[in-house]
Amino acid sequence: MFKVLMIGCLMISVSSFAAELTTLKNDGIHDANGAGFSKLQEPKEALGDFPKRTDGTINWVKALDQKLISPRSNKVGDGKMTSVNLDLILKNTGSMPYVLFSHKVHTSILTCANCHIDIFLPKQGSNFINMNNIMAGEQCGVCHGAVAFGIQDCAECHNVPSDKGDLR
Amino acid sequence: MFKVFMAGSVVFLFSLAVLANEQTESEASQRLMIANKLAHQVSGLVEAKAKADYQQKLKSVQGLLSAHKRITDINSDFTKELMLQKETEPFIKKAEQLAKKHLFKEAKVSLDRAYLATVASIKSQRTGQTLVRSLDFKTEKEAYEYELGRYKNYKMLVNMMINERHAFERDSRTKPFFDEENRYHAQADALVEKGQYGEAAKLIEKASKSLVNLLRNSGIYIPGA
Repeated sequence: MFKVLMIGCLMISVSSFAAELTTLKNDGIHDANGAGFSKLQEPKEALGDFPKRTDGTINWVKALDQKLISPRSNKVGDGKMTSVNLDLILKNTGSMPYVLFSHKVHTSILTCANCHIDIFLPKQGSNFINMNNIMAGEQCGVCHGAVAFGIQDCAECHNVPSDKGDLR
Repeated sequence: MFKVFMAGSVVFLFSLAVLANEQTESEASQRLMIANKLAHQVSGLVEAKAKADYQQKLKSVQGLLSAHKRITDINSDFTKELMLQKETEPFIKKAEQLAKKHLFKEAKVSLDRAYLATVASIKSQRTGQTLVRSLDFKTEKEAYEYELGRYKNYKMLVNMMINERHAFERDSRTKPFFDEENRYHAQADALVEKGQYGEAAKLIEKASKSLVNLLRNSGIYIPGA
């Protein structure tokens, strides 16, 4: 339980920086005068050596590949992670390239229930994803821009050429 | 020996309590009541959390079961659907029975079995596939509103680049892009007033494209053609 709490604290701290790991004292979340504050692990200590993306945020996929993290399917860690190899190409992207969503990448870190059904319905055509919602911390923005890479680099997600040459 | 010591301790504590003045007794009883109340609150919170976890898992299971049914319908593989039903029904029923008895933690454990079976079945049918998905708009108005949202998003990005980042300015270079965008937007508004949302959506998409061209022309990388 304590480990889960610690991971939770670290995730909050990760969420509070854009490019660099900030200290717990300065993250605007933790109370440095709190009784248990000294027992918390600093993000730099835990995550300092983790692989980073070009914008300075942590590359969780690489961290997983390098076995620096070992995601749990539940709190006690007695379950097995179930990775689902299913790619979705999302076409309603206007003049932007289509979005390739890899279930494989996401389910290697998360369980299905993390997203389905509160964030995304597992139903074709029913998830009206848009950038405003993402920037407001909804839909993909629950993680992206918070604990995973943000929206600065469009091509991270919009990476499948579309067939909309007519609007050029 | 230990029992004798314990009995002695109890008698001693009792004597102390008798000797204590009225004020101390009152404080002690107040603290006891608060402690009792807190214990009840904590117990209530634990049950509320277990109930919330159970309900959350139930929603996930139901959602994934519906997805499973859609997949087997598309594949016309009714055997798989029946097999999954046979496998998950006992767990779901057991979970419901346990939940009725307020045994939410145990109910969730039963649901976890149904959840894993459903995920495994979906996985076996979907592994290695690449599916192309488009949004299912119920009306043309809904499609227009979605495009309008995208347009507003680009507009916000342009304003941010001008006012906050000072990446470019409203000048003779950028004017044609703004003019084009305004023209498409005005035409779309006129069509919306007539209720022609389908055509308005196409025009607002063109207005968005004008803004994308403006951003690109100003040196900001936006992927796509």
